[in-house]
Amino acid sequence: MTIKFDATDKNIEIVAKVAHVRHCANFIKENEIFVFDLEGRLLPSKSTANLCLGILARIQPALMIARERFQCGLDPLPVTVPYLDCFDTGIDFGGMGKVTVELLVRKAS
Amino acid sequence: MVKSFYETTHHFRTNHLKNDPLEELREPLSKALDLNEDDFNSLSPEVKNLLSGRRRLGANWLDDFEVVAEVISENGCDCGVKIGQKAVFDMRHRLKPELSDMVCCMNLLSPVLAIFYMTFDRASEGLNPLTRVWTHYECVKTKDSLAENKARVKVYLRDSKTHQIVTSAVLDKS
Repeated sequence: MTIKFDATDKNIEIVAKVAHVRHCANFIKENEIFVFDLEGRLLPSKSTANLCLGILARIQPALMIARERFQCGLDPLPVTVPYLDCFDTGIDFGGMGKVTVELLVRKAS
Repeated sequence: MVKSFYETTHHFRTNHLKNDPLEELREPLSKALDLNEDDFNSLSPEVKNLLSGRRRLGANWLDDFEVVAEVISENGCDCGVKIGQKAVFDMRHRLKPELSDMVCCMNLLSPVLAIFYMTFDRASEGLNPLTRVWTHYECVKTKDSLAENKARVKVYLRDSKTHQIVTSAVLDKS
């Protein structure tokens, strides 16, 4: 469901919550989070997962989309992209591990 | 007609480590990554090559070095990065926030991931893990200046203990 946001209220953050992990060499665990502001900046002090660029880089395009949607007064998260997974192709396809995150919005603390 | 192995697989055609069970890595890696025996035995040629970098650059090469992305241009940047600021990564491509002083703008740092695809490949050959070619990266946002003004970083390798920059072409210890 699309929620009408107050476009003047920048007091929100984008959270990528780890939904699934398999053989991650960077020891990312389920339910850990990566937190970003609406400018697309990672907030390390609010993040609990190891800050692996292999998943962070995958999230980056969604942050650009989120910002644009927010500026249009829409729910920042596109409903068609609820999950994102890391660049490692996983053990069955020439890689090693695989991390999947779910995107969420929260009020900034 | 029976197809050959290479007609039925998506893996790299030459399996350099086909007869190498990577015995010295089996136990620690299986324990660390929750791999059972079947998982370990099914590691692809690509991953075995990746893991074999330890033999060339030393067992601790992933801890011995860091990759630094240092800002060299800030024109047109809205995120607040400043020339001279740094983002520091370990060789497992994890950001080290305690050693970094730049805002962690993903539009600027995401392209740096490409460095780490090359580091493992180069390490398995005994080379300096940092590419000598692709050392500059820039923000993915293209504004009205048509890419004239962007935040940019240069990337270099340094010793994680001394912070001395490492430029030797070959670091092979084998």
